[in-house]
Amino acid sequence: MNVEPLSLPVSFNFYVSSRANRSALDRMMRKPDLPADLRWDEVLAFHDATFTAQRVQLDYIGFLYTVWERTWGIAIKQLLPSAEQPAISDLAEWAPTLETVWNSGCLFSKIGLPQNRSLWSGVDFSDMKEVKLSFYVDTGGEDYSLSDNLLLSADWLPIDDEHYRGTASGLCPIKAGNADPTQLAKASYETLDLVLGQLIKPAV
Amino acid sequence: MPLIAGFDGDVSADRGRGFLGPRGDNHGLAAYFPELLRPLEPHFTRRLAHLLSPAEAGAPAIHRTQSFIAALFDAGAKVVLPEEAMPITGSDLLVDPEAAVLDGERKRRIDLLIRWKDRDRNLHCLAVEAKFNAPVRADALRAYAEFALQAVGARVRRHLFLVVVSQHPAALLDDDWQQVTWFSVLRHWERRLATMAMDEDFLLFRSALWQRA
Repeated sequence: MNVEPLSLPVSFNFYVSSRANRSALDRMMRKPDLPADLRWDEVLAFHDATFTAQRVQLDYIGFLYTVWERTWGIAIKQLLPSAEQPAISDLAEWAPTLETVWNSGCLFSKIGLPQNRSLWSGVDFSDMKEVKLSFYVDTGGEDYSLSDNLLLSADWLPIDDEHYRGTASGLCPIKAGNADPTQLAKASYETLDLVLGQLIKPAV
Repeated sequence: MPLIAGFDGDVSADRGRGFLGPRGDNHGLAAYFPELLRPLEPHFTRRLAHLLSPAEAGAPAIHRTQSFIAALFDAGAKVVLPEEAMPITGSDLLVDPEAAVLDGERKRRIDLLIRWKDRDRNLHCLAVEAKFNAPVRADALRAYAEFALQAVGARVRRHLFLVVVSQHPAALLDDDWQQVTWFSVLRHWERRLATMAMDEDFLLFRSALWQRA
């Protein structure tokens, strides 16, 4: 399985390139009102600064969205092509606003499975050093046993305190602004394949 | 559109000097002050007074204070303080934190009181009430204004600034006070400090201020 490599957005590289850039953009992400002391010749500079901060957040979600498409998205196309896209209202607190994704460092989507089950599939870039995947299967009534007990490869860690399964470190590090998501794509494919296998396993 | 527009004053000459001040290692946003060490309001004002006081912090305090005063007026954007009205020497500049004010029977404290003689030997008194999250009390502001008038004499030029995180209703203030935000004061201050020699202690203090602004 070969997947198109990833490049960090220019704006995000700018954000991580110095503490000053990070602090300035973090400050502008708090959406200051138009300052009362703003001079006429500063109006565009203010909007530039606010826009730049939003641009970083937009490119960040765009990067995570691309990772999702090249991992979970490919797996769905291959294994579950008839799966419907989730409505934003289905994503509840994971609705992908710029702020939610930026603050959590994660983008989550919900994959509808047979038997009314759902697989919550995430991309995590919260440490800004490497990309990871995570997921859990919701079988209803807060029953996560299917994903808790899934026998996965060493690419996946055991469940955490909140029943998430996450990929191990080192599968998709950022190197010189680029990353190869191939191993993550394999891991997501493996997971969806196994989960579907569990759900359509013939009764013994 | 350059990505760093609005922060780095170099990127587009037609848009002035950069919204948050010129980018560089000597900018308060370039330093790291651990957020866990969040100082409380009184600590900020005492530390600010220390850094601005020539008696305590030596010669660098004069430029810090000059630029702080100028930044307050920049942020106020209503009154211009002419260059010749600035403090000139350390011996003519007094900076006091938590100056005591007797309001009837009640003792209050102005967060920061800066007094100086300018080039023409005019006396100035600048009072700063610095707020982060604590409420602003109109009666306290009236008492401080009265104090600044009486204690220093009618011949003294009086400047009153309420520095806040977000603007309070104008009704709270009478005309004596100029209300400014920390955010605006800091961005003007950074511009004026950009050419100063690097000063680690002062830089960290501004970094902490930016976090609260």
